Amino acid sequence: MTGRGAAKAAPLLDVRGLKVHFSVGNTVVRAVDGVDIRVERGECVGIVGESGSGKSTLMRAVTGLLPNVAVTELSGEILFKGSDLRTLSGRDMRRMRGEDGFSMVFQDPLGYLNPTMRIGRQVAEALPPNLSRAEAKRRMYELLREAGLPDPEFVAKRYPHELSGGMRQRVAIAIALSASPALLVADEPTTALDATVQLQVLDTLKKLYRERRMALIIITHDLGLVAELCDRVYVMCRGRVVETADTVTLFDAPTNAYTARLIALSRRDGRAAGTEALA
Amino acid sequence: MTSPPTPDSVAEGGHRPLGGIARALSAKAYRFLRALAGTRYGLPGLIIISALALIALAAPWLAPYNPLRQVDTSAAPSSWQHPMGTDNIGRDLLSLVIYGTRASLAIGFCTALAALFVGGLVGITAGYWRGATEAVLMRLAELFQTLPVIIVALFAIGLFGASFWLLVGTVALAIWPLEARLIFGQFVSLREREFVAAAIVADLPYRHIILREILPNALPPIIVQVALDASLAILIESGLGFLGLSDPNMISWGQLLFTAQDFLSTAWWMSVFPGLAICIAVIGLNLLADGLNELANPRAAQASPGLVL
Amino acid sequence: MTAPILMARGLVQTYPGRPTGFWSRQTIRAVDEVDLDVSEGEILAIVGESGSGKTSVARLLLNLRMPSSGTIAYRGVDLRRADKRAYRREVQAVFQDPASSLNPRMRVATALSHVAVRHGLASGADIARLIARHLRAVGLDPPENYMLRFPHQLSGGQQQRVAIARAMMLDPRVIIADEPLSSLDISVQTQLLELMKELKEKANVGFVLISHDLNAVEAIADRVVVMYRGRIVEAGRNVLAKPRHPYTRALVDARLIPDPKLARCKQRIILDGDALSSTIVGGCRFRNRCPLAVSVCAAEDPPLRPVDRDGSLAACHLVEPVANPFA
Repeated sequence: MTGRGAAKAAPLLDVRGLKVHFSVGNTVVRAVDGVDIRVERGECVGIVGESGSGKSTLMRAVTGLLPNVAVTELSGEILFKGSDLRTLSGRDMRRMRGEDGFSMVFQDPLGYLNPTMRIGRQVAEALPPNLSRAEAKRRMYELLREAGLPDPEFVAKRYPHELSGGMRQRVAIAIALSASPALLVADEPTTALDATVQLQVLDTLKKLYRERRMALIIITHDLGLVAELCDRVYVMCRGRVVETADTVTLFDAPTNAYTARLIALSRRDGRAAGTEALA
Repeated sequence: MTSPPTPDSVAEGGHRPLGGIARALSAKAYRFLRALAGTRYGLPGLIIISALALIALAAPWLAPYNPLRQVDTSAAPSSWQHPMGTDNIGRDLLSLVIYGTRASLAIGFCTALAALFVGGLVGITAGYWRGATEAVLMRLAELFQTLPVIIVALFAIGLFGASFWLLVGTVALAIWPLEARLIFGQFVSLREREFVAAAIVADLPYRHIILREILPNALPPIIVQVALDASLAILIESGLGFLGLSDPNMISWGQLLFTAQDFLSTAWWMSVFPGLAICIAVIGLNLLADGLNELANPRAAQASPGLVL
Repeated sequence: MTAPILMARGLVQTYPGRPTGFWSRQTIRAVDEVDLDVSEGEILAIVGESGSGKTSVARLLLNLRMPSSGTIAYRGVDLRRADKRAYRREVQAVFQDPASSLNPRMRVATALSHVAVRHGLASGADIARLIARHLRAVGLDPPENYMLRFPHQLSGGQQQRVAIARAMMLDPRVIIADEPLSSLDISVQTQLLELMKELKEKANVGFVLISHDLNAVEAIADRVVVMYRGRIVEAGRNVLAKPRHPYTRALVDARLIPDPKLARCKQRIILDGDALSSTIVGGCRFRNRCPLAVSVCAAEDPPLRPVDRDGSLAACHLVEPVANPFA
């Protein structure tokens, strides 16, 4: 595996000096204002920020999913496996979303799962097209199981609205995994979920990260999620990266006042102690 | 133009004297028209409809001849004196079409407003109180929607004779369910919104909630529908006129088509020009509706609440 | 100790669910026999996940819906017969999504003036002064900057403050806040929690805080009620510090810890499935996910009973009841 250990291996994702500015009414919003992000293969990186920090816009610019608004500036480099994503044609971009490429999971899967199609078919659709039907079906069940759904046969026959939020999110993860991506970008993957369900999805993400050695980018405002899952963290505020460090260092000794404040707020009154094991 | 809002004037908002309301409304109307003129389809729509309205108003001065007077050879094709030719009796077609604008536009708008009024009452009542009221009223709307307009018109005219207001009433009968369903849908969904719950919790009376909380938010699609209703009304009226069910004392495009039926091959201009007029009116209203729709659903980038009302 | 302003007893709210036969339908009990007391000067938190019924309880307490059965007493009088006007003045609300709890087409001052005029709080030029005073009291200073704005011109935190100002205008005794923090940034959440605490201390206003965020609840709640699928499963003053019901323990355990060293070595209880997916017939409604379920859990629905000297209640067969709770 390239990346870990090798001294000067090229990072999987290398964003340099990215700027994304929108015009809203008669003002210019500098959603992303000169950001550098680096993600190696097999790393889990967290991008943390409050609303308006630019974290979602950053990822949408990287994955080519900017919203349909007036973009006044889009500059900088987005190097994925060495190629600049900004200069790629539509066809090449699609290949980047395929095998060993990148995939995204969003906050509310109900919004982007097809409500009129059964789950099994939607997952199978995302698989590479040259598989036989039996093979596709097998891979589909495998993916659903890998995404943490204990009863894939049951889920595959359901429609999205028949499943709960947590199950839908795992289906979304299964779909994202179907192309065997090298990088999975998850934008607020657990925000809309109940606390107990959040743990299930978190568990799934942890397992995936370990077993597939897939790079993960987690975009969130929840520092707890980042502490549980990520190796390294970028903290964003108003379109800029204000601090970056590995997770332990960041939480122990933040160098930036904004970061320190976020951490203090997330802890509210003192650190949460470990709870007793269930008797 | 009214003075810009100050905190005091806005705080007294609940109690504006009548003159103040009129001034405020006209300022809003001005801003609204300007916004509409800025949209891609709204501008041509506004131009067309304004032009037609002007023609309708200025008909006596614009029409070169008295439309009802026989002025020349019958069934004569276009010429310098008669740009649209003459009809089978020898009346100038251009003058007829110009005068026809009055009736057609009038029917269009009166019908749309009547449909809005009836549909609005039904839709608001059913949408706000739900339950049994909703069941009864919405079934009623569906019943009327299935009525064939032409048969109803035939009955009505057979019983009462054709007249302007009868036509308006008949076509409104056909159209009001559309408005009712739209307004009903709007009220049902808006009623569940939290600001309505907040108003209920603040003990505001239901008249206030309907008129000042829900209705302003429900208006944008309703206004679009009114423009579409008007175009639909013109089309229906033209159809009825074509069948001879129009008011014979009134010059309308549909009626001109009725007379033109027997001369389709010999005097094509008798049917083409009124037909063209109908097309232009309908297209104009549809463009207007598109422009209104653009105002009602602004692009996500602009953080405005929609129609600038 | 003053008597509670609102007393709910045996509240039940049912909805028609999926059809089980040609004519029959399952009924879903969104709220299933809930008893609650709401008092001035006390912050009561109702905690639960989706399907717990906490939002339905809020709507019932606010008289936005009629319960299928059960009663709510306002100052001792059944709400159906009580003085509605007085009730609406004393019991106010703040809702979840601040952007939609304000009319998008009304300026802040207009919206607040309607309330002022309706309740005869001021007239003419005094209205503006009243509004300014209340905006200042919730931290929107100088008020003139905010009075003319439309909701979309305010940030989420500012919108929520306007909502609180609107509620406070009537000088209520109790404010029912349904998930007031969920769509806000954490720094704004903290400020709003501080504001609520301040209102409780200075104006003796009681709150019913409905939330799924245990951290927020822990910061300001005096009493906590935990709901699961329409039932109260645990209630008390120290519920989050000493959870007894297995569901509460799982919920407390599910909190993410913003400390990587503690987080990584933590053994967690991960519940299977989720709250709504299966129908439970008979017995404890948590038994399909409970790691401790035994045979009695399937046979009998456990009642809510005292389990500690400090008055905590829990509904679980496996928690020892206490005979004489400290009253």
